[in-house]
Formats: sequence, structure tokens, C-alpha cells
Amino acid sequence: MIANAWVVWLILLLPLGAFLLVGLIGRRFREGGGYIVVGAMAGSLVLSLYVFVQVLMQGGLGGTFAPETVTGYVWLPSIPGNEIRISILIDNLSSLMLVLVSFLCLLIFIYSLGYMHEEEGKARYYAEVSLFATGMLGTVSADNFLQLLIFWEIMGLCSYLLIGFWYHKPEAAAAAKKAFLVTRVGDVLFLVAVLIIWNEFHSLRFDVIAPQVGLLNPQLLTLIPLLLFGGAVGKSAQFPLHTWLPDAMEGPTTVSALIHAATMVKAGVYLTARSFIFLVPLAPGVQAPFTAILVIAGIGGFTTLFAASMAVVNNDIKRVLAFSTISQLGYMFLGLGAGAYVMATQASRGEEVSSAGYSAALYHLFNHAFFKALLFLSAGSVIHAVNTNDMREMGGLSKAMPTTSRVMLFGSLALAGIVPFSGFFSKGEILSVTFDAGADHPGFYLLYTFGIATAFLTAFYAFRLWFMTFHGEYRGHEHPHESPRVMTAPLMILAGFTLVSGLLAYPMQGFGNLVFFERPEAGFPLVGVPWSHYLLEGASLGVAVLGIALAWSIYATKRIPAERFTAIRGGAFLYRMLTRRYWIDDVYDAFGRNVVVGLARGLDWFDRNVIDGIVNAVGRGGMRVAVQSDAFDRRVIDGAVNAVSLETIRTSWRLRQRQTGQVQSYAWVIVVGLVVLFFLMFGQRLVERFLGGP
Amino acid sequence: MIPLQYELLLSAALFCIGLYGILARRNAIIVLMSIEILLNASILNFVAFSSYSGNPSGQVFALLGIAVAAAEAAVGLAVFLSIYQTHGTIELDKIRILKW
Repeated sequence: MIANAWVVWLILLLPLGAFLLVGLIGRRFREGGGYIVVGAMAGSLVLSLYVFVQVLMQGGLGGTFAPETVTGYVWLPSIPGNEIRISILIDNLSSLMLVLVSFLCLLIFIYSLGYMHEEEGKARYYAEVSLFATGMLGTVSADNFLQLLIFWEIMGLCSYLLIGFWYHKPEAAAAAKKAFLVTRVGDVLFLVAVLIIWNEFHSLRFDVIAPQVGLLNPQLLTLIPLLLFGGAVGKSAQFPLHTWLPDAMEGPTTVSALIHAATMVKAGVYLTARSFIFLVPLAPGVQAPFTAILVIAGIGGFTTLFAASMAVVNNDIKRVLAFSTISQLGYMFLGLGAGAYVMATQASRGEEVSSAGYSAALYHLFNHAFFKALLFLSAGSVIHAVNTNDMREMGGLSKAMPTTSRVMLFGSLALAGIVPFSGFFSKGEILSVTFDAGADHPGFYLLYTFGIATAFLTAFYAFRLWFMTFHGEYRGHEHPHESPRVMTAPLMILAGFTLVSGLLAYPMQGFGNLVFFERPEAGFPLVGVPWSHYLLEGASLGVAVLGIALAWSIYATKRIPAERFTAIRGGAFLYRMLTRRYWIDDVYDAFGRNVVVGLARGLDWFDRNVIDGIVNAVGRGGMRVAVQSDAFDRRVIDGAVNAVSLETIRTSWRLRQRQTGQVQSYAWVIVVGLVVLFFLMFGQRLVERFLGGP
Repeated sequence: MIPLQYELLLSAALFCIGLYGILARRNAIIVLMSIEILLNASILNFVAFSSYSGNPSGQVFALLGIAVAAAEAAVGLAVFLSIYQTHGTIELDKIRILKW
């Protein structure tokens, strides 16, 4: 049992309160309310740590901690017991994510105090990032799919708002729209998945659904995780919905670091990890949805190479990192997919299952959050100094910015996967699991080659970036200077974590001992693993070193001129293809311009001619009927009424003539009337009397 | 003893004279006098039937009728005087204010 479980609400409510306060009256505070947001986030971090430490103390390591739900208020009423509540799930994964997210948010908010110092609209920025923090914390602590979706959409909104922070720049406004619309494709799939889940289980809670997954029919068991993965593809910018993330770099660098590297894009990975209850239903006799698993692993593996190749040719420091983020997210999906495949195969054979892939992917998520946030913030520090994103106008900055250059070296080493930096451990584990999965399905050998090729490219583009920025002579026209301490301090903390977050696995006896699916796995990284894994780790380390060496010889010593590659025909074509991002953006644009706009034109024509025609015809028919009805009304109905009234008037006129005011004429009428009456009463008798009747 | 028929015939003759006067004459005074004749014709009927049947209540009615006729004459003459003052005439065919 978690003591003082109610404090978990404060983890969410503190940033939410900061959002409301800063959003409403932020302009009145110093730094646009930045200190309030930082304070709220620090509170969230302390409380998250409080919860996380309790989870650890109560057996979070080794899996004896029973997941706990802090029940909240009813969001949607339903049959008692099935209401959808806003509740907070506390288990190993969510408590770790809470700490991770609040820690990174705090560091990046502190960094923002320096980075955003000279900006207009700081209050807006701080309000939006604070709301974003609420969204991310809510996403990772949701205990049901609907709550997850709600907070997921809050993040999407904040992402949109923050990419478009400089909304007066047309590129930023367009990028914001693109990000919102492209992720929406995935969000709709996610929503459909939520609806199907509700329809099947009459509940959306993970703990209620998990034991019943075996009752699903195989088609739905495949469909649901694929739809959930569709949401993840949008949010985590995987192929084919990856196009929004590079453009999202139009936002402030802090936003790129926070939302588009460290946290929000990880929500897709988190969701896929949560959907393991569908991917690996461990009920006896239930066939796992292998197709869905292969799709996830395939898209992850493909995206990782695909995005890394585009990072190689980009000259925009932030875009390189954006492509790198897509690529690293691909690794995580590859790890999840391969892990699920291995696990499902083991389960179907009745063997002891191993959640190595699951924990490797989340391990990479954890490590990547630190080193990619570090890389982005360092890039921000550089951009702050030289006022450009273009690496061709940088160079030699290590003299002017020694701290930034050093921390960025740490980040690059972690990204490249050089031992003992964090990327080495998690990337190596993912590749090992993928290679192991190859024994069950040969497709994973192909994905492994993608992964290892990506490891080479990753090291290459990471150091291409570093050498182009910090090595050689300065090529720009500014006067670069080191960033203020409020910015470098978070950088140094993060640089420390690029070392620590990987090595943390040792005191925990392996990351799989903390974050796992079904079964914890104790075991120190690189200790007591099969000999093949040493070879695999060695291979990934080797290609990384090769990549760095190639970057060194091309961009640092210039022993191999880069032009030699583009001079040959195939190379030039490849270069063009990569800089045009495989023409996918062009294809989407063309699709939008031709198909969507054409469809819209066609529909417009249809609307104007057919629909409007029908409407107008109906209208004209109505008019005609109305005219007829009007005529009928005027002639017949009014005619009858008027005839009655006219006749009444005429009659009254005639009767009026009789009222002459001549008393004697009235007397005449009386006399004549009396006579007539008399004859009517007595006439017959008189006739009989005088003419002789019976 | 005068036979009842004669009395009734006299009464009818008086009634017809009165009726003629009412319907035909223009002067309001003459019309008023004709009304008196009409009344007296009916009073004569009361008296005739009273003596014929030996019941005296008819004669009581006759006295009542004479009293009513006197009051009616007084009211009628006052009305005519008032009309004369406002219209300057008592010719009935000239007085047509009770008209639509």
C-alpha cells in the first residue's frame, strides 16, 4: 500500500494549477510566471519521487509491488462498477515515468528561464508548457484507455500551440497545423481502438481488461493493438506519419527538447507498452496476434533506418536531432515488437517467458529522454549563441562555448552508443533481443541488419553534427558566447545522467528488474548473458566507432571530402533523395493538393450542381405549391369569410332602412303583425264559422 | 239593458278610431288623444263585461285604467313640450332622431 496516496493527485494538480494561474495573470509575475511553473514542477517531482521511493521500498524491484489504483471521481457514469473514472494507476512503470517526466520538465523549465528570457509572450509559453506537463503526467498515470486518450489529446493540443509559438512566422504556423493534422490520423485510430475495447469488455481499465483478453476473437485481438499502434505511430512520428516531427522544430528549442524528444513522442511507446496486454495474452490456449507484433516491429525497424538516413544529410542542427528522435523511437518500437514476439513464442511453447524486449525498449526510452533532451538543449544553447540553425554557419564553437561543447559531446556519445554512456546499454539490448527473435522468425534478422546499420548511421550523424558545430573554424558572423548559468546548469545535470541513467541498471540488477511485463528479470547488464550477446554488443559498439571515425575523417580532418560522394551519379541521386526526405512530404503535399483538393472541388461541384439543384428544385416546387395555396386561401377561404361578412353588412343595411325613427311606421308594423298573428291563431276558426265548416 | 254586442261594437269602433288616429295623424297632440280613445275603448270593454257578468272587479280595473290614462297624458304632454322646445315642432314625421 502506498502511504498518503492522495498526494499523487497533487502531482497532476500542481502543474495544472500553475497553468491556470500563469495562463490567467502570468504577465504580472517576474519572467512571465516562469518561477511559478518551475516551483509547481519541483513540487510534482518531489511528490513523484515520494511515490516512486515507496514503490521501490515495497518491492518495486523484483515485482512484489502490487499495482495500485487511486480511485478518482466518475468521469462517465455507467453500470455500477463499470463507470469510467479519472483514476491514477501506480505501478512500476507509471511511477518511474512520473519521476522521469517531472524531472525532465523541471530541468527544461529551469533552462527556459534563460532561453526564453528575451521573448515576448513568456506567460503564454509557461502556461502552455505547464498544461503540457499536466497532460504528460496524466498520460503516464492513467489507469484506463479513455483517460490516457484525454491526456494524450491535451498533449497534442499543447504541442500544436507550442510549435506555433511564433505564430507570426508562416513556417511555424504551417508546422503547427501539420503536426496537429498528421497526429490526428493516429488519434482517430486510437479512438476507434478505445471504442472497440469498450464494446468488447465494457471497461477501459487495464487491470480489468488484461484477464479477459483471451475471450476476444482472433481478428479483434489483432485489430485492437494495431489500432492502438496507429495512435502511437502518429504521436511517436513513425513511418508513414513521421513527416510532422522535423517540421515541428519551428517551435522554441525548449519545446523541441521537452515535447518532441523527451516526453510527448514517448507517449506512443508507452501506449504500445501498455497494449502488451493485447499483444502477449498469457492466458493458456490463446494465440498471440503475431501479425500485429510483426507490423509493430517492422514499422519500428524500418523507421529507425529510414529516419537515420535522412539525418545524415540535413544541415539544420535541430532537424538532424528530430530525425534522430524518430530513428531512436523506431528502435523502441523494434524492441517492443521483438520482445513481444519472443515472449509470445515462448508462451505458445509453454516455456518460461522473458520480457527482455519490453524492458529494453523502456530502458531506451528512459535513457533517450535524458540524452536527447540534453542534445536539444545544447543545440538550443548553440542557437542562442549564433542565431541560426544552419550548421554550415557554425564551427569552432568549442572555444567560445566550452561547457556546451562538452555536454553535447556527452550527449552525442550516448546517442552513438559508446560504452559506458547510457545509449550503449539500451540500444545493445534492443539489438540483442531483435537478433534473438530472428531464431523464431527470420524477418527479425533483416530488422537486426536495419538496426545495426542505423547504429552506424547514428554514430555518423551524431558526430557529423558535433564536428560541424564545435570543431574547426567559426564560419558565421556572430560573436558566440557561452550561455548563462541558468541554462548550463540543467545541461550539466543532464550530461551527468547520460552516464548515470545507463549505469543505474547495475544497482537495480538490470532495468528488467524494475520495469517489466508479467515477469521481472534480475541480472546485471552484460553479465552472465550468452556469449552471442557479447558479440552483438561488440558489433554495435564497433559500427558506432566506425561511424564516428568516418565522421571524423570527413568533417573534422577533411581527409575524405564529402563532395566525392555526391560527385558520382548514384551518390548524387541518393543525396537528392535524402534531402527531399524520400519525397514523402512532396507526395503528401501532392496528395493534399491534387487528391484532397480535387476531391473537394468535385464535392463542391456536386454540392453546387446536384445538392443545390435538388434543394432549389424543392424550393421552387414549394414556391409553386405556396402560390397555389395562397390563391386558394385568398379566393376560397377568404372568399367564404368575406362573403359571409359582406352579406351580413348588406342585410344589416337593408334592415337599417326599416329603422326610420318614425314612430308611426313602427306602430304600423305592430298593427300589421298583430293582425297577422290574430289570423294565424284564429283564422281557421273564423273561416269555419263564416263559411260553414263541419 | 243594452245588449253586450252593442257595447262591444261601440268599443271596437272606438278602438278603430283611436288606431286610425295613431297611425294616420301627424300632430303629436292628436296622436295622444287617439291613444286616450284607444284606452277608453278597452276600459269600456272592462265595464261592459263587468255589468254583463255581474262581477264588479272589471269596474275597479276601469278606474285604474282611467288613473293610468291621466298619468300617461300628463307625461306625454310633458314630453311633447320638451320636444317642442328642442325641435320647434311636434309634427311626428319631422321628428326622426331615433334613427340609425
